[in-house]
Amino acid sequence: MASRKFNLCHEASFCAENTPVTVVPSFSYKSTLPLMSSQRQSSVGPFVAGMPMEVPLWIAKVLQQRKLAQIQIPDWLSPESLTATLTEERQENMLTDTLPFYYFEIARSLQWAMDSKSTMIVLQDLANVRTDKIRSHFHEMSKGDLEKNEGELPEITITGICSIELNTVGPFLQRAFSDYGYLTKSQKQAAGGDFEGEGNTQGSEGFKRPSSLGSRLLKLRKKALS
Amino acid sequence: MILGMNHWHFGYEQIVQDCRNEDGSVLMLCNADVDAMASARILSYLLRSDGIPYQLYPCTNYQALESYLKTNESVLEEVEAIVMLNFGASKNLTRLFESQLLTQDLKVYVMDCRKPVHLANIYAGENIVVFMDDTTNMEELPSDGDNLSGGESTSDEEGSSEEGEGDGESDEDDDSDMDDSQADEGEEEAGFDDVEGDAPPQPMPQQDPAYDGGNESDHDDEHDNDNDDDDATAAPVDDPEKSKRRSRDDAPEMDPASSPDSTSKRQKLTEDDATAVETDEDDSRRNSQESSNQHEEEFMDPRELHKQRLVKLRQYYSSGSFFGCPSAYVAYRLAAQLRFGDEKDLLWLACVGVTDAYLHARLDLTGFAALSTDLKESIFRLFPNDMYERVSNTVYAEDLLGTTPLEGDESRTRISLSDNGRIIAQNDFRFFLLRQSSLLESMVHSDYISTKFQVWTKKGMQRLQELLAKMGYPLDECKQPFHMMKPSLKRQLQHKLVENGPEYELGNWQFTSFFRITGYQSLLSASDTSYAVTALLECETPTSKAIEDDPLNQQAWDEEKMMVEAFNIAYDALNCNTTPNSANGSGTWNGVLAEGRDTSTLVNGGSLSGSTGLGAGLRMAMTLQKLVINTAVSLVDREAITRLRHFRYAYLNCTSAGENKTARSELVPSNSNKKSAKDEEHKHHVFAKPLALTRLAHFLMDMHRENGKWTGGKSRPLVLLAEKPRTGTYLVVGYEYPERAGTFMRNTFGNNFELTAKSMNGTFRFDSFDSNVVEVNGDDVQRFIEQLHYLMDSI
Repeated sequence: MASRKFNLCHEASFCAENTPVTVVPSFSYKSTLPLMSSQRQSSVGPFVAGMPMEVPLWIAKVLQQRKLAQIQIPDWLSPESLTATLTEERQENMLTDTLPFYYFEIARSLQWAMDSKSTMIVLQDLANVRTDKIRSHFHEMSKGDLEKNEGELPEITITGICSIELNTVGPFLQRAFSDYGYLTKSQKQAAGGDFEGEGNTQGSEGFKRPSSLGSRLLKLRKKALS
Repeated sequence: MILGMNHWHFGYEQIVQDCRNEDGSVLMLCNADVDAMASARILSYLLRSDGIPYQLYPCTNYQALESYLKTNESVLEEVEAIVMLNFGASKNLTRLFESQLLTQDLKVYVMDCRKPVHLANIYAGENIVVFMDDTTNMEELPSDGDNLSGGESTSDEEGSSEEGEGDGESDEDDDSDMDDSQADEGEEEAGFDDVEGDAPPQPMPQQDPAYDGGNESDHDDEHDNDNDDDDATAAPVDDPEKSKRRSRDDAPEMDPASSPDSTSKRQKLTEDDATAVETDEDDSRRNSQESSNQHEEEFMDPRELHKQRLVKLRQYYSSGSFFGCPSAYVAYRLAAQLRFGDEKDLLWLACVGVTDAYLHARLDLTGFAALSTDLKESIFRLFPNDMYERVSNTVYAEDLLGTTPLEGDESRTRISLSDNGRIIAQNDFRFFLLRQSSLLESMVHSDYISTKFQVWTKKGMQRLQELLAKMGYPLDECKQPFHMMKPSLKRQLQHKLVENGPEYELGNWQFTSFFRITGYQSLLSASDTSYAVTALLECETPTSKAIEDDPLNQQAWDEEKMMVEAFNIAYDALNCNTTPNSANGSGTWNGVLAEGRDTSTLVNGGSLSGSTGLGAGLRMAMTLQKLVINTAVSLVDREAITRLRHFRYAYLNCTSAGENKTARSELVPSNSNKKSAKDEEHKHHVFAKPLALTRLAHFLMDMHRENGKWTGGKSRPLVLLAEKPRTGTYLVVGYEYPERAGTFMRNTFGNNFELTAKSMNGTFRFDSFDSNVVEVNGDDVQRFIEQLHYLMDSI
């Protein structure tokens, strides 16, 4: 289970690097460089020294390390705005949706480029608060959704969830749900019909995480018993 | 070709351009000292940032370098630039890289602190680039022309292979006379024809004024010179030199192709490079001035001018070797002229390199002060520590939480942030490895205190303890590891030393030192780093220990391989990662850190176990220092230092290490159980390494300066002879003795050793990069000393 989380971590960091950030290059390059990886941008450039422009995060990091450009830290990543977000989090019941999906991974990538050392401190606090919220309020959030049980896949909608929380609590929840589904399945089987229960959480931006592992687990279980 | 200080970045840009155009790589050849390693790190960072592949290879002598070049020809085909760090400037590089320069279009770049720079390298055209600091006055350099090797120096090395020795042959460069003259004349002005006078000389802008005049005078001059030589009643010393010159002049072999080449080269110089034009213009301006002044006398006295020039050349080479700017500083300045001036790791490497040069007597006090002032400015720029910064950097927890403090409650929680990676320039004490050991230990083993108090005597130790008591430091506290001492004591140390120092004649016990914060608040000083990495470089490696400990496993002791391994370990230890994504970026995103690879794990010296890494280096440095002190003391006790009229000398055999055998056993692999002669052979003497030997020599000098035995009329240079039992030779190194600590005198032993070697039969190796080092066969060493003495008598 731990290695799975580790892989999720890698995956998230990698995907986060596609986020566009503003960069001020110190060189000029007239033609554009084609990009395969981004859906948003098909190419990067032309570079004009001193003019800010948007590039994917991974390009920005490479340029910064080679001293060819200066990354401009996004607005949401300054200590003040993070502190504001933190206070908001503590007061509200629901998660804020002002943060980008990969906020933690982006911040971790840009850690070395930040001027202020206290950003990471606030960020850690923010991530902790949000994750705690999910863990503690999950029961209430999900009670209503689970009871409905219209189809085979109970959906639990949590607005404002971000990648770091998904990866922190996600695997546990998936496992929990698959167990739940298994336990209720036997009930349902008794009541008629065969189905697989899966847990699925959905982010607010329409990002769907297929919990294929959860379903695989369930299948294994079924096999073992039958 | 020379690059002045402001133009160093042109050299680097040239490398980048060449490699990008031709898809080539860079070969970095690095001398085995910390300064060179630091500059190698800086340069490799630059190259990595620009995406240029490079290779790094350590060298300790020219022989090894040549064999490396020969065996790796396939590798060398891709190489577009060779960078030599901290060696090579005083050798004729056109000859050394002759085959490479002919077959490929590569360039050689030299960053060397050793001077004097061989004139052939300066006037060689664009293929050899010397990064020159501002200490040499370009006006004083002899102008271009023949005899660029000087009458007496490198050309005579080759010459001595034919002359001088009867039976024994020298292991030096065995160039034949023909090659000699060809190579030289390839660079000569065309004015210097062969004696028969085939091709008329072509007037060139940088020509020596003597040859602006008619052609006839040239030939007459040559003939006259030869006649003069013949007539001269020379001392035996002069004969080899003059006969050498005669033989060169007599072997005309003037390459007609080479003179137009050299002309065009020189003309290209004046047109292209802004840098070379500066210096050449200076020369030509001076020449034209001279020539205008002497226009009337030209026809009358070209011989006189020629003689003057020869005298100048001779003076240039024989005034002794000295040191210029350390190469790490050159590399950092170069980086700062490019876009890397804000990179903190590079600044730290420069600090380590400069401190290392100072500690190993390659930099005198004034030079070190100048360079450290410059580095301090950079430090203040990158790490501003003024009030404003400190205020703006304080972080309070309440601010971060967004909570307002309670009414009436003024206290706020201050969060202390790690200052990891910060560089500080402070006055520090001259104590050895203070922050990695206890106060008492570091005082006892420092060069400064131990020589002032003569701590190895009982009385000296008592005096030292008296001083500590007067300062109010209990002995127990002084024996605690320094970072565990009471904070109040640590803070007062400086103040107390100022108060009580003068009583014990402790002046000048501070020097500007550089520190880097590792972890939260622990400090790592540049001098400690330098000592540690030097120790890793010079002491045994795990492999060599394995070989030695197993008496059955007597593999061939490949000195070269051992050196490369030690170099690699030391180079890794110099790694100054403060963050995983920093300059030497070896960490991956998940920050997997190995021991000693991240300075934040190096808290208070870090783990001192293990055989690699900075922690191990610190441990070995302490052992090495103890060994140095013990050896020095035992030499004095046994009265093993003999004084002659012109110098003092002492033998360092493997058995002369003194009582502290346990200390030695860590550094020197030895089967301490068996005492057979065979084992003695297989010992590897740590003092046969040049850096350790330099430390010993300077310790001896400090010691005797303090106890007044070597002062005034009794001062002499010091020659140390260290045994290398493996090869049965002795490493003979000569050191000048400056009256005041920290000053520097030009080292003239290079010349003296050469002359001595020429005048006797025996086997010698003048292979080392330092001119004052020679390796002599065990049987010949006694006679060598005698001969050296006679020689210095006759000078």
